[in-house]
Amino acid sequence: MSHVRTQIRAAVVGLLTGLTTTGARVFASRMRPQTADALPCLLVTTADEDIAPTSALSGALDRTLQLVIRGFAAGATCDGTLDQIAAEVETVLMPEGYMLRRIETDFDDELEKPIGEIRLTFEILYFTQAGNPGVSA
Amino acid sequence: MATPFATLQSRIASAVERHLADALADFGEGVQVAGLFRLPCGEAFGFVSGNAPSFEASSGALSGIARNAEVIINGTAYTVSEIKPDGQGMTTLRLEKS
Repeated sequence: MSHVRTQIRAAVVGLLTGLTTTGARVFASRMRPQTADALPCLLVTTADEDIAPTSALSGALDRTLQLVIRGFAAGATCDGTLDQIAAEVETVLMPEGYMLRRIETDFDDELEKPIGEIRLTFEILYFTQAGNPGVSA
Repeated sequence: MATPFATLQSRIASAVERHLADALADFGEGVQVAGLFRLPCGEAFGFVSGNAPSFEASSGALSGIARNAEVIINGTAYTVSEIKPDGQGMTTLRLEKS
């Protein structure tokens, strides 16, 4: 049984696949770099997680997960594309209860086309029983 | 009058261009410059891979080239995104694919 983190990541990939700007270019693994020709695209990652017991007796864990959606676009005017990516991601995820906490952008002009990145950090609250991280309580 | 060392630098730049040039950069309107074309692999954000093209030639030969100039090298069109003279007679042009 996969960790709930993995299940969340897979569910988000499903929700974000088919958006107007990024289409089917939604990835959940950062192990294989993409070429600039495959942009714009999305990378779904689960990052840091704060975990605390809900009470000493219940054995349940209160978990707050940072879900980071990274959008990438190429070209000298990629700022607008990145903002459009953010608009489309927010429109899909926020009605599903994902709480948007932060948006960051960055640019890199080392490659043959400038590359821009937008990172949307969402917060997800979920519960598991201690020792059973594959089932959301 | 140039110092002996400056003269030597100029001679070295000319020799590098003459003997090591591996590409001809065509800036249009009859302007062609021989120099060293580099196309190393690069990566952005640890997730996007590509090439980081540049062209190096003597500063004198590239003195009339401005940022955003269009150039064709080995059949591929590029735009000059940055001009970086090394202060010792050679200049590197960073290139973006057009």
